[in-house]
Amino acid sequence: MVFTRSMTLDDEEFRNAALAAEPLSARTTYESELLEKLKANDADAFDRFVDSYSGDVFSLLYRLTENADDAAELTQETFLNAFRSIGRFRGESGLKTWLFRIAVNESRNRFRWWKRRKRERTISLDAAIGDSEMTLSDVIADRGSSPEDEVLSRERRAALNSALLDLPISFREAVVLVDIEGLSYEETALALDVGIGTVKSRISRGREELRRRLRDS
Amino acid sequence: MKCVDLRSKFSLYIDGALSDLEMALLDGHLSDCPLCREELDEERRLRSDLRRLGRPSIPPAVAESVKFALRERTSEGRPSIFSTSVSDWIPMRLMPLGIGVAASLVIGISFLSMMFAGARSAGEIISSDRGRDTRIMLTPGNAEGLSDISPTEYARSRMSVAGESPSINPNGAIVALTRSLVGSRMRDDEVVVVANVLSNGLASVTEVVEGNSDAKTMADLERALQADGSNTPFVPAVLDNRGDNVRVVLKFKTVNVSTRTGSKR
Repeated sequence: MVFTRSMTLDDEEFRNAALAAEPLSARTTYESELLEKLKANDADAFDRFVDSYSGDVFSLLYRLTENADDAAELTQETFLNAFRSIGRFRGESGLKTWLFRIAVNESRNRFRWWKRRKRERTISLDAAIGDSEMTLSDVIADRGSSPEDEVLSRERRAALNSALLDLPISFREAVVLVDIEGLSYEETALALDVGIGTVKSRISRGREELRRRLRDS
Repeated sequence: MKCVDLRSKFSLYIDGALSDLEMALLDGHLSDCPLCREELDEERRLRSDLRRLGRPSIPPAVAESVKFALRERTSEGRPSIFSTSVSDWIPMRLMPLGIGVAASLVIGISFLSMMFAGARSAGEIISSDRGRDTRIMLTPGNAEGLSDISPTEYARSRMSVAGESPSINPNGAIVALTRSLVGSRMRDDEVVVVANVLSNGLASVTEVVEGNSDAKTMADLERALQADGSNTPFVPAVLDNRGDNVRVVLKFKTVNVSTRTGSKR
């Protein structure tokens, strides 16, 4: 009998495969043109910049902070920081990866800020976000309503969320970037400002910790 | 190699991040070991479930707010120095008010004097009253000219809210303090204290929510709140028609205002 490695492609993988198949030159041209206009302080380009990346940045920050108000505020800080630093950006990575790097730093600063004040944070999925009437449940349920998502039971989702929240922050950052945001190991290394070996180690240990916590829960 | 050693590589295996040699080694082992296949399935399930966890959407208002803030910082379309974004920016950072706090007074100290001098006449205090929050922007330009306004005039100008939110004394010690803070470029992000404002316009700190690393700044603040005579930090209660003892949250915040050539922070 010949053993073959089974392989399944879910929607996310198809999406990533499609993105990977997109001609690199086309994406590079789009980003290069946008970058040029951003450096020229073009107001419309900044609108496009926000349209293109604010959803990804918010999603990342929400997963890192588990607090929608913090994520909203840090999203703004991330873009303002990017605005201030865009002149120094030389395109060493994609714009999104660069923004993620800024966002990760913003979230680390916020984490230290809270730690310094020893604040306890309670999170309710029914809590309103800012002045809006939306709740965290609305926000999370809004995306990715593919049939596969519906298969993921409420209990499993809650257990995963809770286990993620419990992970040491360095593991959580790596797992969120790779498994939820879909970055490659190389992009994750750039976003976290660490080597590829460190990313591999954090992913392995992070997932192992998640499985352990899920088994114990 | 033992199962436990190989299992530590499963995560990289399913991501295709192992070398060809390691992949072949694992493939060989997996074809013989049902326990490891089970373990590998669990690892795959975890990764798959993480991807299905969902990515929260950004609320449209947040994206719009980011765009607005950026638009203001680009050279075009910046409406004014005290724009909505600045006033929005302050409440975003308002500390949650404690129970029993009657009002909050946010004093933003702007570090941009030259443009301001052209934009606002000396002696003007920009205040915005909404509910129980009062925001007062003090810059070198207007702080210098505050003595042109009498405590009575200033209190009268904010009569509708002064009952709950005490008026600072334009000739008082808080204004003088902000002037010195502007000069010294207050380094820390913010200072937040809870204070009781008494009927005679004096105040005392009851709680330091957010201190300043410079002990002198905190000592200066306490002194300013207790300066008597004509320098009391707040106007007497009778001018505000407020109660004898009003609790406020005082927040000193450096407000950074964009210039036409870029932004300052």
